[in-house]
Amino acid sequence: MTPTLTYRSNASGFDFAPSRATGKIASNLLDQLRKLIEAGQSAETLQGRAIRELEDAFLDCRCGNWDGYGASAVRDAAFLQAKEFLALAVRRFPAPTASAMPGGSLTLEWIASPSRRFMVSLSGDDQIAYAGVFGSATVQGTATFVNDVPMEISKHLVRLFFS
Amino acid sequence: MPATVGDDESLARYALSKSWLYKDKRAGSPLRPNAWMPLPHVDLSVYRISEWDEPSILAQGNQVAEDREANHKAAQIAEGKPYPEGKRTFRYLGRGEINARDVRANGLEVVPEEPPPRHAIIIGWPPLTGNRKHDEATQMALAYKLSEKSAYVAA
Repeated sequence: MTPTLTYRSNASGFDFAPSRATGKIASNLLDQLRKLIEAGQSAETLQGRAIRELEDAFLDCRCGNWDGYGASAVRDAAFLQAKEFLALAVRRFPAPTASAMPGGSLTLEWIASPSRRFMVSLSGDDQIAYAGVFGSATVQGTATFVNDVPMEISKHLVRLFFS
Repeated sequence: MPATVGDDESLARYALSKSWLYKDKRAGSPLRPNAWMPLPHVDLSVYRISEWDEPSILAQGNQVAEDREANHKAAQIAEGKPYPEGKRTFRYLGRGEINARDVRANGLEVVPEEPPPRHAIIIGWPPLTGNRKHDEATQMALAYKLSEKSAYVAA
């Protein structure tokens, strides 16, 4: 059977009429759509893995001295904030790896290569700490997290993955 | 052991919790940089392992895990929490190794602090400012630098 597609753009500002395609063009489009869906499912899987890792880190470190060296317990507020931050971050960046900090916060870390990595630390406060290495250069600082990934953290993640 | 820690001395940071390790089989060290952060303390516990053979280093790692486990178990029981027979919270999993020279190159210092024998601490971390997040960011950056210079040896 020859594939047939009907396409209507959702993009605002454009006024495409529905178009119909059959034959080779439709087959190519179908292939591309399938790849797009598979990529989306793959991203969802990666995000799910990051959330599960974050949950594990929280559950493993809810009590003090979880590292054997007197680490502080991770609070519920840190987990909720880290989960919110993660959900926002994975919309634009690859899924990070999650763990706990000895000071009682949760950390999300992105690793482009062993010498290019960046992490944020969330403890439930408005302020979040970050640090990163970009080859021989290091960055560190704090940023305010309210409703979205702070601009300076986005910039560092863009630098990590896209420059 | 010499009263001062030489630049060429090798130092071990014993890993007792899986929370310090990356779970996937990524390239590079499986030890997370978090392992090199002293918070909530102001110094970082290490052992001087130069001129020690592997069985001795392993034995010390196991001893550290035993001590921490015993203290943890006692604390849990004292708080009235159950600690079933056979439960084990801390095990010696491996160690991060770093040269004293690389510690000092980052503005830190390592000094002996015995007992136990061969125990030392990494000190000289930037002073705490009272801004917890600022202090944490500073330590995170230093932890990255130490992590870059360290190697991981699994148990």
